Amino acid sequence: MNKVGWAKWITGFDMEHLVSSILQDGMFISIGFVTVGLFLQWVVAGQISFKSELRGENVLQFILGELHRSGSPRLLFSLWVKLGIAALLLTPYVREVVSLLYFVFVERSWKHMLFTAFTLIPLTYILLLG
Amino acid sequence: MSVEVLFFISMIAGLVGAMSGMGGGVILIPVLTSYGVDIKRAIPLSIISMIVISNSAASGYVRRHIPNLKASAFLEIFAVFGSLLGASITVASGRRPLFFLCGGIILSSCVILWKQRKEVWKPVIHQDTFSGWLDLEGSYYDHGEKKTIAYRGQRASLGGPLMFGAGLVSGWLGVGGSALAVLIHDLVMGLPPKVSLTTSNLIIGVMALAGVSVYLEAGLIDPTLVVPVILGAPLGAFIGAKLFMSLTNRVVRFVFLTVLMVLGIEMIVHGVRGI
Repeated sequence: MNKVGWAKWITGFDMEHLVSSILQDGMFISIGFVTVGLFLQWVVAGQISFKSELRGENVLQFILGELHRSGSPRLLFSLWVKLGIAALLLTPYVREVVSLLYFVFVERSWKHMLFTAFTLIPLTYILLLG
Repeated sequence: MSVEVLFFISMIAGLVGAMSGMGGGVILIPVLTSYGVDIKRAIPLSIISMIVISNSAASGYVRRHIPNLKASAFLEIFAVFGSLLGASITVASGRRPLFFLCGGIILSSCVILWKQRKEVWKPVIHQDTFSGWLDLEGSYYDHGEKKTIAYRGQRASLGGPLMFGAGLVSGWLGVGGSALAVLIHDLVMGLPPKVSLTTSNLIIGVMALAGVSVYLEAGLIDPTLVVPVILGAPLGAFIGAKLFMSLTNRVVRFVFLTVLMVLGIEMIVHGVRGI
């Protein structure tokens, strides 16, 4: 994008609309995954109730671990349900990342960029690395 | 507890949460514990419901430009650190004194809000330097009052550190943190009730995420219980957010006051019962 195009894009940029879409889409994705999981459970077991546990792990380990264990059709529903939970948990995190980018590139407000970074650092550590 | 019952309870929690700016803990924790769910599993579930309600209700509020994104960027720092600390000490500590303390704070705030119930919100005239530096101001179109309301916030230097306390209570008890956040925005920072509630609704998502990640590491999250909350709470939150838009600031404050009173009494009862 050239300088004029960038400036036009910045002027018309609606951060609130983007944040709203992230929150809404994150919720829809989460509900979608969980619904697919429950449907698979109903197909395989004939009922929607299930027993599942989360071991102590961060969100990244929890997603990767579940992908490794998903070979069996009986565990497939559990994968979808847990992906739904992960999508739910990651939605506010994605919103924070987008806010940071907004404050850096659109608003060019270094103080608000710093505030958002201070929030993101501990969240990133505990969600993905801790 | 059956999936259907928890789905229905989560829907009510979503409705109340969206209309009061809080999570669903005020409804979920007492119901779950009365069904025999361990409090240490009920608290993480209540915190997860905060994320669900925040995602569902805040998406509508943000689209209408009501919450203040710059205020939330500043206040979230304190709330996240408070929530991390609160959740970290949950497993090891007793909560009884904190239930009494938080219940006491909430009920005293009820008295203040009750005394102010006939007063309409007054805009801040003289903004302090720090709040001005933070760009703590904005405007939104109020559908209830059918006019644009411009506002400025104040005392951000006090509101920020107090949000640490709100995060601590949220991570520790699973209830009360979002109520405290609304009170801080409203009574300390002078934001209009609708901005206070919706900004709180946005912040609680991130605040709760910090707490949940600690409970996830501790293996205290039960997916069996989370699923009905993910499916039920957004429905209630969607209806609650629709209702919220058409209310005036005075009615919003009344709804908040009623839920606050129930929450305050509930916390004192928790303290007496020791859970």
